[in-house]
Amino acid sequence: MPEQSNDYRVVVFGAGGVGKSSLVLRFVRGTFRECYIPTIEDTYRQVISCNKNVCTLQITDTTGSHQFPAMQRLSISKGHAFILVYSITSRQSLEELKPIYDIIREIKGDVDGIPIMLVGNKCDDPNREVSIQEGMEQSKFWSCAFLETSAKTNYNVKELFQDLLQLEKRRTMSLHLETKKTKSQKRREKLKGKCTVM
Amino acid sequence: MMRLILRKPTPIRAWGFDPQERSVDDLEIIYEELLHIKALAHLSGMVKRQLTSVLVFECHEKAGTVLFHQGDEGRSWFIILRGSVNVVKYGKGVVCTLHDGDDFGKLALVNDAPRAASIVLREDNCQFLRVDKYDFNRILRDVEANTVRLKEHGQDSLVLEKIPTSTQHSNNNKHHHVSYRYSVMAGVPEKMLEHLLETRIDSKYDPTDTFLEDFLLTHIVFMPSEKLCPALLQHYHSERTSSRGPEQETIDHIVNNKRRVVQLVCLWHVVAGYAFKQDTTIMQFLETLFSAVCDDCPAYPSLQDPLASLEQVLKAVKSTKDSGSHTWQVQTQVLSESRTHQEDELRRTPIKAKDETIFKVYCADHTYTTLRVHMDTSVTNIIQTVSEKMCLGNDLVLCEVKSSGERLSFHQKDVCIATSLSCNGRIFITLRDHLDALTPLPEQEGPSEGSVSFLEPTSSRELAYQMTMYDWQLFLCTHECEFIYHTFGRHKYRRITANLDVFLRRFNEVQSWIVTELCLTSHISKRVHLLKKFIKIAAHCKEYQNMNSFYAIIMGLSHMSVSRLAQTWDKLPNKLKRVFSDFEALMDPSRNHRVYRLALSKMRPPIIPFMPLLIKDMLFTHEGNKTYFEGLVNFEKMHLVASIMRVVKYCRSENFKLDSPPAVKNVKEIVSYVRNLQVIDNTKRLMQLSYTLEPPKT
Ligand SMILES: Nc1nc2c(ncn2[C@@H]2O[C@H](COP(=O)(O)OP(=O)(O)O)[C@@H](O)[C@H]2O)c(=O)[nH]1
Ligand SMILES: [Mg+2]
Repeated sequence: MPEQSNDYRVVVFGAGGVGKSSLVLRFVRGTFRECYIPTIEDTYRQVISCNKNVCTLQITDTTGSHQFPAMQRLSISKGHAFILVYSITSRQSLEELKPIYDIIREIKGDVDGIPIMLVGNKCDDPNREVSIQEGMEQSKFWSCAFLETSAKTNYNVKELFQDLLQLEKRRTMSLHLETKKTKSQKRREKLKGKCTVM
Repeated sequence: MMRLILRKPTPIRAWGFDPQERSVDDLEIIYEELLHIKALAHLSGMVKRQLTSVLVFECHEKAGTVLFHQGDEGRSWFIILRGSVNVVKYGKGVVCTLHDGDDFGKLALVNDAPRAASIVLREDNCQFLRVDKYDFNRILRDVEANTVRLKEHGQDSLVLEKIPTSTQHSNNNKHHHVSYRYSVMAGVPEKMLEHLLETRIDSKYDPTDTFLEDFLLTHIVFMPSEKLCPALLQHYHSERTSSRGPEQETIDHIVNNKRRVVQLVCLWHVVAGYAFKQDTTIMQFLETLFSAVCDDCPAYPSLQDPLASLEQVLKAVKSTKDSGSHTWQVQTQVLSESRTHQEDELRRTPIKAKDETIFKVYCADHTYTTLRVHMDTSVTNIIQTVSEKMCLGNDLVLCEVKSSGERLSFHQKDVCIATSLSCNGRIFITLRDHLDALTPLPEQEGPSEGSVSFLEPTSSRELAYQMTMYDWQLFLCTHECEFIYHTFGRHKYRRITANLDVFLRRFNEVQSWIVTELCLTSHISKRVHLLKKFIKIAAHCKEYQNMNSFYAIIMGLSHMSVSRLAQTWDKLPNKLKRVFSDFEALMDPSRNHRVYRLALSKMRPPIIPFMPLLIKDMLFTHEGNKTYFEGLVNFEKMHLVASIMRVVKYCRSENFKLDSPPAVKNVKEIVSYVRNLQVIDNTKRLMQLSYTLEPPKT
């Protein structure tokens, strides 16, 4: 299914190894892997409902390092909503989000109305360095939403995406396709479902 | 677009002449032509040369004409230049049809037998080359007399051709003394190597004898380093089997033999350059050889000098190896280095097999994954990596989807695919059965707005200059050996052709750029202005001897969607119209691009040659000549291949030192513009744009 103009684009940022890919893969495929394969840039698509219609959520999973600034800027300018991930086991990873937040502000101008979610991942891990309060404070400072998640135990992963979509005020979006579907819509969805399996 | 040049050359005028009246020049043209004829592929260069003076051009107008009847006496042998014929036998009718490049009638000449079938023209205007019996037999006799065959175990192992070389006595100019040299025509690789070591290392330099250089330039075809290195080591250690003479003589023999091996290796380094330095087999071999020479030095002190030279080579090779690898990013069109340092941003280094490349692989739904792999990673491995990452299942194909929607599957064993894409092509992966469902990305369309506002105020000279500087770097990065890999099949040698690919793509890019800019300029007066500008840029490129971009621009201007813009061309000043038609004349492909070749022969390096023609020459040489016959390497083919590689070497034997045009303010902007041309490369879309600019007359 080629890209459409009404695609909703979410971009996931964060330092390398905090679990960005794990969160996305848990959400899209329901899987989790222990091994670490660095990402450069991957995209995924998921069918969601938007203004009672079917539309596609396009998720861009990015690299943690700053090797490709051009790629980073491009995905920010194309993105509608952003997920900023750190690992609760590393204070450093929270620090590294700050310059990214600044670039988003710089490129998007006004961040009001742009859904941004700060995420503390790996909350299953006992080696905590960042408390939940610290995360919340940071989110207040940025006036964005906040959640702690675990891709490993599948804690708050679906909620993360659901909440993010609800922050979008210009459209009404939901992960559930609860609209009354016409036959053709159902068929379209089925087709799209197939495509994502591919 | 390259097809225009790849088209078979039209029959040349020289054919028409009576064989007796042919000039040396004509014979040369005919010879070049013969190199491309399939039916002659098995004949040696010597035979082909002889044929040039006896071949008769024959043309028949009417289909149905009988060339000869079954049972006739066999008088001549025919080669089809153009057209087709039916082979007809009594009682059987048409037994087969022969086409361009096929031949017939030779059997009756060789066996002195009557014709075994009749030949009937299948279409009007068939063209043939004819060789008559007397000439044919004479040539075979003459050539055989000048051929020396060395046999081993009753089989030919080396075939040499005796070539007269007239040398002048220095003290008496009037006396010509005819001597001979022996050129290698064919042989088994090991025997050729032995011959090389015994006769070429210590001989006096003779510019006409290219055996040594040709062997080192083309060895990958018949003796890749995996075979050549062990063979050299064996030669080095061959004292055990050598003759037992008086003590001193034996020692001299052993030392000379060892020294020659080392000298050959040093020459190999000089001739093969980058290909030599990047080869891991050679690297290991150098270490082994070096320690062997070290061990031998106490016993044979005269090996000290060769040892020192070898050490130099080893050092040079190691230093390139340590210079680190780069990461190349395939973004839209250019392959740009991802971490360029500010100071040498403008200087490219050649792409190496173990460099990394970053590119996106798209699925049918246009989601993608970005890969970072080595240049020489095979398609099979790429498919495996992607399929693991994306859970895609089995029976996948990797293919290029062009902006036109055309899909080209990659060969499983292919390497460096990222550089082999067309201008706006992208790499896709899909289940084999779903290949038809792939559609290009919207971004592959290319720009929707031209850059006329940038081009208008920018000086043509400056643009041509910066284009040339870029082309020159791409050209310098291209290794001669890449031509061999490109033509003979890079997957066979698992060697990359990335540098050549990038340079060849540059040609298409520049060509598409010209068409794109003109088709995206809707205002006629601006379009005329742009047309003027492009002709001027072409003129500057020609002046800089940048024939590659010169041709790209002229071919862009001759593209259907530009040449049909009659109103635009009408408004072009007459002077520029004349300039353009002069340029077009240079592109005339007839007589095997005679006009261009003549022009090129008058230029002095540095030259940036018209790359697609070099590729075409290589391809025709490859297809028109067998690599092996009767178990021997057809070394005449290697001579031809190497001579094309030498053209490349010659063109860049001098460095480019152009006076840069008067400094302008926005040099940086111009540099980045010419290196990042945004183009539409979908001919259909270009035609549509062209039709909206100037609708067809109804
Ligand atoms: N314990 C724990 N480990 C996780 C979690 N999410 C990811 N990981 C591990 O962290 C490593 C990095 O994950 P990855 O998703 O590749 O990180 P990315 O670089 O941000 O994409 C991997 O070894 C994962 O198995 C989590 O929620 N809990
Ligand atoms: Mg990742």
